[in-house]
Amino acid sequence: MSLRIVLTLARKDLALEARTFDILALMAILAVTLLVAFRVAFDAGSAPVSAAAALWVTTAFLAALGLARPFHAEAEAGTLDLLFASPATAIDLYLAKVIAAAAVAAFGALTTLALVLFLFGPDLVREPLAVALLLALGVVGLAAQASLLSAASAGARARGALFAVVFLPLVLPVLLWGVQGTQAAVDGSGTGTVFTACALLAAYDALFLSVNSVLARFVLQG
Amino acid sequence: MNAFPRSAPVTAPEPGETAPLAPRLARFSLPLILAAGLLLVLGTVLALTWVPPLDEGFVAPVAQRIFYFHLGAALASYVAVAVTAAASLLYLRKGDMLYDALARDSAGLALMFAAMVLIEGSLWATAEWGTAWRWEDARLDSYLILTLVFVGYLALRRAVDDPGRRARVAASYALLGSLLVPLSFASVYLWQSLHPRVIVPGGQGISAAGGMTVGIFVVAFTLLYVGLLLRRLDLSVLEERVGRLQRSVEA
Repeated sequence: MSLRIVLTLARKDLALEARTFDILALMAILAVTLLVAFRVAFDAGSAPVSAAAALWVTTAFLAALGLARPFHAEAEAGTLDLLFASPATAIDLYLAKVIAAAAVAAFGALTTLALVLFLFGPDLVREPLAVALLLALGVVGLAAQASLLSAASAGARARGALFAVVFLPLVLPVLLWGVQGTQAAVDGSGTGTVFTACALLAAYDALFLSVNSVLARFVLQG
Repeated sequence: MNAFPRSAPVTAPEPGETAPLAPRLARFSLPLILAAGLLLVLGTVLALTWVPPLDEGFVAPVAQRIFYFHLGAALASYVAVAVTAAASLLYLRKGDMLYDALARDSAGLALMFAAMVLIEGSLWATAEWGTAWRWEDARLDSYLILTLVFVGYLALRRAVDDPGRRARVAASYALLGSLLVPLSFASVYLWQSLHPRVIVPGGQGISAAGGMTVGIFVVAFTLLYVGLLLRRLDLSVLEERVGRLQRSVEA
């Protein structure tokens, strides 16, 4: 593994995204739409959704939209074979995509957080450090899975829909623990729950970053 | 220099390779399935008529008898998940398509048993809790997530056309999904679950008759899983051979 190659590839992906802002703009619009839908649909049915749930569900859906891009864009542009022919190993490629995906996911999470504070009230800022830590760990987990599954679905039929079908079940634990930890932080039901959620998320991130780095060799074969 | 070698072309198995093992084992599938059927009938009769009800701690002691079917199917589903994971790992290490077929067939059976577990569990929950599902229960949510992962596994397989690539990405995905199992167990025991605890000191008050009936169902579902797996594997090997012959004729 070469850190220089990883950072170069990650910088390339981020520069491409910053130049066009395609996916970031779509994620921001989708965040607004989803959160408004939550408020309208659930409040009209007298079963209001919590701010914590709205935050994490929206972040997960934004990830399903925006994080398929790493390898799908390469496949569409016909640059996958060029990447494979480069000196970058499978681990280099995978980690570079994780860094770029984490940055995109972080944008989605922060945009969603700002919108949730606006639409649902300021409850989430009661424990800013806990919420920030949970979100950071969640973003890493989402990026770790998305980068590998983007490669796995790149050569498939209906790859956009397929990505969502294979991605969302694998990241449901992130959603579950994120909501539980955030809700506990907001309503003050105990630091034990927050700590447990952070520990589970950190274990998830460590486990899947290491395993996915190994599996990248098989998934990124031509 | 291309860092990633292209996948090896699929070739017909040479004599003595593992593929011919499948037809030899397939002859046991029908006896195993019949034995499983007999044990299931015996277990059902015992569970409904012989085993004393567990009154302590249950609102609906009659519905509690679903436990005997439920535990057997749940254990069979976890065995199927483990076999899928092991076969996927073996495929990635050895590249033998038989392991890919084994993983695929085991995953299908895992989904079948998971559907049984979810339906039986929901019936019991409706009688015991007044609702078919409790979303705040970590054990229920974990099991549902695992089921959805295996649905995704089969969807992934259907969407990738190249056999070698399909086997690699499916094997990788199956391994990722299987890793959720220990994480889920950890989360269930860290956060209190509403689901009845199966493994507790003292056996949660289950009688010797109940224990024997549990054993009968566990053996029955395991035999059913193995019998169906051998039958499906034999069909997979035949399908693969037909496919190879067709490709060689077309070429």
